[in-house]
Amino acid sequence: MATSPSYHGNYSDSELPTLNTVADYIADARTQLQDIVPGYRYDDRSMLTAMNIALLEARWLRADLFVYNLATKGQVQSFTAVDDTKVAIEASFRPAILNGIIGHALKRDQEDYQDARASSYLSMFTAGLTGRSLVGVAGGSPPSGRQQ
Amino acid sequence: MSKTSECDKYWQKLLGRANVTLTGVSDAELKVQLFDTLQQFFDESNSWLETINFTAIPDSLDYPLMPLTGRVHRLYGVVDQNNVPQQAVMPVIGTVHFLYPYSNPQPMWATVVKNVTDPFSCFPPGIPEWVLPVYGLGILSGVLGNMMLQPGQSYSNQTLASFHLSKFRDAIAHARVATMRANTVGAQAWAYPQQFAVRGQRGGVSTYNVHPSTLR
Repeated sequence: MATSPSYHGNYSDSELPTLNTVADYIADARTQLQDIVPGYRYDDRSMLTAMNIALLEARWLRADLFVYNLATKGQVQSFTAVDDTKVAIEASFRPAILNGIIGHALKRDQEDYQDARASSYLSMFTAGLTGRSLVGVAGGSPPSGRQQ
Repeated sequence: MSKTSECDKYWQKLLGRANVTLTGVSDAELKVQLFDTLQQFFDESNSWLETINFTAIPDSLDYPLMPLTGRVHRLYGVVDQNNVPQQAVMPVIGTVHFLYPYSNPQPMWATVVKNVTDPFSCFPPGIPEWVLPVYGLGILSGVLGNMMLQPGQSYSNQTLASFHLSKFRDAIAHARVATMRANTVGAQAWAYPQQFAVRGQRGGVSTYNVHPSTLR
């Protein structure tokens, strides 16, 4: 018998704890980027930039996620600190935003195989927002014919 | 089981069915589309009525009406205390305008057609409890059809959109006719107003009890 509490909300999912705040997104993005040791490779500023850009692109792909939100007057949120500020995104689309953050963070790398990973994460970002079939993560190993 | 929780279950069922069918839809878009669908449903079916009481006073032709919920869209009719229809129109939406003034104060009852209001601040919209149990399937079809009609979405489907929208139009027609018949089976809600009653018959019909006879 389960004893730990679990969340189940109504149609207003602003309190759903999974990927609810800026810090949640950045922490999980760093986990997937294997950048969890302080003295981060991807510092807070660059992660916030990646997050803000991902949200702007999400607005372009899925305006309905933003324009009906009266709390933000239908505008896209923009963040300046990694804190507990809530990110007003419906629960179903939060993983897509996370993929977008990771994709934009990976884009700045100069490694060839990171380009493939960035592309795959950005594809997952787009697919997650548009409801198309999801693609797999690629680019985990260096391109063939190259030496590390 | 309270009626409120019963109504909530119908809302949950409707939104749940729509969510399952429309893969990739956002709740925000679904709620907005549901509001638009309800607006079209009530506008074209005239099925949401409210009777509002007010007092007609001498030398005044216009009477603004305040419904309990929703928004007044058009006038269905006005009757006086004897249930006799009065000559009234609604050139300004929400205000009854009598064609002729009354010489004495008297109570009136205006029946108005209403529609949903407050698309963002109120969800579920404050519609009557009977709407979803009676017309929920038709409204669901309207939501699905209009959503599937949107181009470039994961749930776009022109063929199914036509199918669902035809079912929605059937539901609107059903609701309109049911309202006209006052939700009865095989009956006619409308009856001749008393001023149409013919007591003195002319034109070659019986002239019983008329003196002198008009037939010459």
